[in-house]
Amino acid sequence: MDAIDSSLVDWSRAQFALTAMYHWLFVPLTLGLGVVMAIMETLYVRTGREFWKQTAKFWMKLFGINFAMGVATGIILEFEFGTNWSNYSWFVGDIFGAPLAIEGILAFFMESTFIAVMYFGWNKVSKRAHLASTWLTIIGATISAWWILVANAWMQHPVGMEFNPDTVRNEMVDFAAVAFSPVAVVKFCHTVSSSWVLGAVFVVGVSCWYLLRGRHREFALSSIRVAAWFGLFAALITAHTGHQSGRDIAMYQPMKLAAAEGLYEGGTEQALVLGGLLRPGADWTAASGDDRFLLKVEMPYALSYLATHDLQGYVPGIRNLLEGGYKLPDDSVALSAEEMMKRGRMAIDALAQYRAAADAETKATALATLEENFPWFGYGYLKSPGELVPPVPLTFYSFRIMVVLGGYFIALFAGLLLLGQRVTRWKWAQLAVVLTIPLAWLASQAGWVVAEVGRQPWSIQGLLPNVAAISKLDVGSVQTTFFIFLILFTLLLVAELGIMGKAIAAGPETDQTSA
Amino acid sequence: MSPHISGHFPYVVVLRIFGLRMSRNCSYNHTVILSRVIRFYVDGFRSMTLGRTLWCIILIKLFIMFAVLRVFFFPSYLQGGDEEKGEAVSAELTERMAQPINPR
Repeated sequence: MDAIDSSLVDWSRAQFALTAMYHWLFVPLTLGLGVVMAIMETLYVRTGREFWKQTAKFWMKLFGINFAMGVATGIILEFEFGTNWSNYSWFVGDIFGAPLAIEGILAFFMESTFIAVMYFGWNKVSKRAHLASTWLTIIGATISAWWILVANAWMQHPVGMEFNPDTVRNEMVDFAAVAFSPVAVVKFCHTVSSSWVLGAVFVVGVSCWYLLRGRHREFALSSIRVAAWFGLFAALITAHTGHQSGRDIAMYQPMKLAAAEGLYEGGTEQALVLGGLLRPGADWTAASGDDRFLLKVEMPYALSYLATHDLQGYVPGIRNLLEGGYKLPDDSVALSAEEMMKRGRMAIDALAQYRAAADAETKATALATLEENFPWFGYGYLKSPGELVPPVPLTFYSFRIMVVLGGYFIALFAGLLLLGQRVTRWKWAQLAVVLTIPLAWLASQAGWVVAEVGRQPWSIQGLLPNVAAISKLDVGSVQTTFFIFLILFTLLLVAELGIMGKAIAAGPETDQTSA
Repeated sequence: MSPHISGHFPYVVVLRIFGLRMSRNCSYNHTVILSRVIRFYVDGFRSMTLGRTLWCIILIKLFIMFAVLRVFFFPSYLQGGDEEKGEAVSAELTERMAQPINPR
């Protein structure tokens, strides 16, 4: 066979990661800031105070800048599916296409219809109609996110489909199972609530910048109060859904959990690593070896409890997952990686036999073998069990960055609420909040890294690894598009920062006298 | 065209583009509403300030994406009808099956 160059896999992944990560710079601010501005406008409609109208309009302006910069950056991901990930695109069939189509037709049109009323409708439609439009804009954006995350969740935990060997496609047989898969629901709640946190951090950060500059005091304090309550609420939901997400990962993607925890040797009564330093260059796929941590701080029993809701619960480590032999929750015994790879090769071989078969009997035999071994289909593309281990240090540290920053955001919002107006006296606190703004993006991107790097080598968990999913392209062409995107997106980001910076510097029109 | 709707001329043109027309019968209200909707958008676009810059950026971005990237850098890899695409992917998936090289 013509081997797939590993650098082609790496560059295809790098290109997709670059596009997705840049896209994800804009999306969470849209989702988070959208709710904050809608709350501000709700306060305006309820109180009738012009102050809240101007406050809402200011945050809407920043929302609009971010929306304009971010809109359609996700479309490039769809281009990449067709060109760089053609096997994947064909293999997933309508399962991936349906949520994306619904997202495009229903949610995006809803969002773009009401955003026009939101911006053009001041003084032209009633206050309540305008408020409804503002909420429907952000609800539309959130529904968009729902369908995208449904598609992503299916890749992490494929359900509701059957593989059709005649078309070589997975076909949806249960729409509800796909749309409301537990992984999708938790992923949606966690992603959206974390985006709310980012939006709230942005609002308190910009507001503290005004306090530092001695401008727009009332506007800043009011915005901080609203955003801190909202941010605290969102951060607590994020923590809760993060815990639920951890349970899903323990159940459906145990290798990702093991990598995120740096857990080589699992067992019962497992401790959670609160913080630690991994030994540089440690081989996580070796059968044995030195301790892979230079140092670590652990919380006894916590990992077992978080993963299984049982202090004595069994959590497999990387070695256990590769060697198998431990008991699964359904009392069956886990297969070794070698065994799964063997079954995967049987499934692929059966697919080839099925498609080449001339007589019905051979076809039926091949189909039976394929169906029996299809759950391990993707393992047949792996050359060695070690390929099943994702990059451990990147997953481990990204997970800790996300969790530590999540805890910091809770403390930040609670602290701001406790301080109230006293925050105006503490310049260092204002500066700390301003400097927190980029940390919200760091946490958001770290979460993305945990979710996507932690599931390597899979494009579709268990069914299709990257090496089988990518198109056989010239590496140079993938490198070219990678750098085109890098330049294009960086220009967009610089443009956004420039326009956003000017809008922030101009400030709201609420209390110009205090400027 | 009815005299009392002649002031709507620009909107009538837009309505015609979409295959709608104004008349004296009951569809008048319907078209007036549409006309007002179009006026809402036209006025909104006319009164934009920062929005003009943002729309320019959006249009440039969409042009680069669809007229440059999509056309020159992202052609569909799989060609032909569904059957040919299925055959091509089937061949790829079968050919790429791994032969194990070492246990770990």
